[in-house]
Amino acid sequence: MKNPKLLVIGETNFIYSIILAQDRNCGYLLDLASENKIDVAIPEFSFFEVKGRIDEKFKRREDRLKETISFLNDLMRSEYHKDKLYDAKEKLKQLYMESPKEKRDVLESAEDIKSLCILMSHNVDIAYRAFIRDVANLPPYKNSDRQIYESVLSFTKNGNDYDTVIFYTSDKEDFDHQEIRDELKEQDVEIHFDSGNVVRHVMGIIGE
Amino acid sequence: MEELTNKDVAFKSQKVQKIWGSALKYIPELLEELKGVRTYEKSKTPRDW
Repeated sequence: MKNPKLLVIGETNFIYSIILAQDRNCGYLLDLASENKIDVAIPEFSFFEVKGRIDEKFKRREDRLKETISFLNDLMRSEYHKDKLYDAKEKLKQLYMESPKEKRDVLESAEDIKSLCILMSHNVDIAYRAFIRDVANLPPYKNSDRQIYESVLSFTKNGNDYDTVIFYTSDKEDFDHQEIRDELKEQDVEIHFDSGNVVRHVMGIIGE
Repeated sequence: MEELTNKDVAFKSQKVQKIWGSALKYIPELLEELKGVRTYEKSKTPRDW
């Protein structure tokens, strides 16, 4: 008997859950993908979102470090503060200098996740449909969520070779709407908000 | 949500093992971005890998 073909679609939180070591179930699903036991697909939009956030956080950190170092320089004009603050300033300078390398390492991890997944390309049609959802006041109601959701619909709309397709998101608040459930059901996509349930379901299907 | 995997065991894939938690060390403030995901201190049903 041929192995059942199973696709798990993750989104932005799936990436964060792994690089921030928050949900081992997501790591396990990626592990199964690396062994070709299942496929994991993630919208390209989610990778852009993660990159944007990482860039922003490092930029903010670098700005604050720079400001603090400049403040220490001001204080250290007095001999009294010079001795006391020298070590602190050197440590902050070191953090500032290492920041680009740290950022590269974190971004590289996101790229590594990409290499283990199917990338769901973003395009103008998806962006247009997300816009129309907004006009029609259809959920999900946040722009980034709409872009992700339309990517999922676009990726799964023309049928596929999979026996089971699961869309997993931990963002129940924004994605748990009847309209979404109905649309996904029409395309034979199951939606899950609990990674434990996804792993249990996957293990049941692939017989792990 | 229930964690089905043992938090102390390594992933089979070296690449996944390398990626796991790679951002937590350098940029813990990124945790603010996560929605609906909690940190799991215990594995309720540990599983042999």
